[in-house]
Amino acid sequence: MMSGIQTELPFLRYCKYLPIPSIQRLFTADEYLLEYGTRAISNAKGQEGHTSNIFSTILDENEKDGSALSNKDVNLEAGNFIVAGSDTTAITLTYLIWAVLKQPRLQRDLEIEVQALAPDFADADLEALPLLNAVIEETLRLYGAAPASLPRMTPARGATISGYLIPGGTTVSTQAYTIHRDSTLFPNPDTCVISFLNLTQLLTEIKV
Amino acid sequence: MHYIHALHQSYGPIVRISPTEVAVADFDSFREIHKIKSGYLKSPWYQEFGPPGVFTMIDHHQHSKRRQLLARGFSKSYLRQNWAHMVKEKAEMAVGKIRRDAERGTADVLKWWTFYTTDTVGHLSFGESFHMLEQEEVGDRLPSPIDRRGTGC
Repeated sequence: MMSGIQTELPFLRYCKYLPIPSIQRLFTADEYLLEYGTRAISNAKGQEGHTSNIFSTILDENEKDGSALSNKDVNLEAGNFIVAGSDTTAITLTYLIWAVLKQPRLQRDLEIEVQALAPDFADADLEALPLLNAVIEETLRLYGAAPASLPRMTPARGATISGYLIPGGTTVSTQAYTIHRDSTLFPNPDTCVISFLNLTQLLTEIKV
Repeated sequence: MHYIHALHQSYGPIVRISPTEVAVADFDSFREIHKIKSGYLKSPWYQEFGPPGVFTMIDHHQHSKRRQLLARGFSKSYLRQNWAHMVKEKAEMAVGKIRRDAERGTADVLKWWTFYTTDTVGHLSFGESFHMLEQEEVGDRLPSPIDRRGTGC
């Protein structure tokens, strides 16, 4: 989280030089995480033939075709997965619960759909539930945890975007927050669950 | 982000927001900019995150090579076969804790989901869970600074 904030507010990184222990710990968390990633490597290589983490398969392949992924790379990617997969998913799931609880009819319908599952249901069974999946898509549309700009650079030769000529090397940012509320794509874009059931169909139509 | 959203509402889908930056909120343009080999590269903003990983790599070939390597561990069939059980087990534990707390009064849903997602992605990436769900606290398996990420405080 702090590394994300620091990219938005670069001057904050100097805070770690402040003589306040709690602030120093906050800003050196990334370094701790990188250190912790070495465990990913030892675990991935530890047990032969056993899938101990997602890097195991990759490292197995590596042995065969030369080392394409170094220990340092595994370390870095493992740390990044933790950052990318923890707070984001937890925040979005929390919004989902909130949005459903605010709408008792939706809550009831969703509970009916989910209760019909067999006790030993698998992932594939969940994928076949239309309302559950529409609720997830709609939550991601309105409350996705990373709705900001995804900045890109225009190619050196420049580009034409919606009729505007943009010179090469210009940053173009495209924030999901706004596109997800585009009324030409989503009727009543600010209303959660205008029609959860129509949403899946809509998403198929525009092929996101 | 909300400010840029307001600018789009006043001035339309293309707004110049600094001398060197244009905000784009048009769906077709979005697709053009983000499609593979569009010629648009990630802006230098991504270099702020530190050494290049799959999220920050700017060079197209370097990125696709790394992505291809990681893809083996992220295919749906591989994940279902090897990891779905672990995810389901942790999800059930998280839901159980939320139910227990709710029956006693209030449940901190964000806290339990954070323990659930952090344990899960920790197990996937490091090969061992942080066991926050079992211990019901951040615990000492994570170096202490990270608890501030985890619980969002």
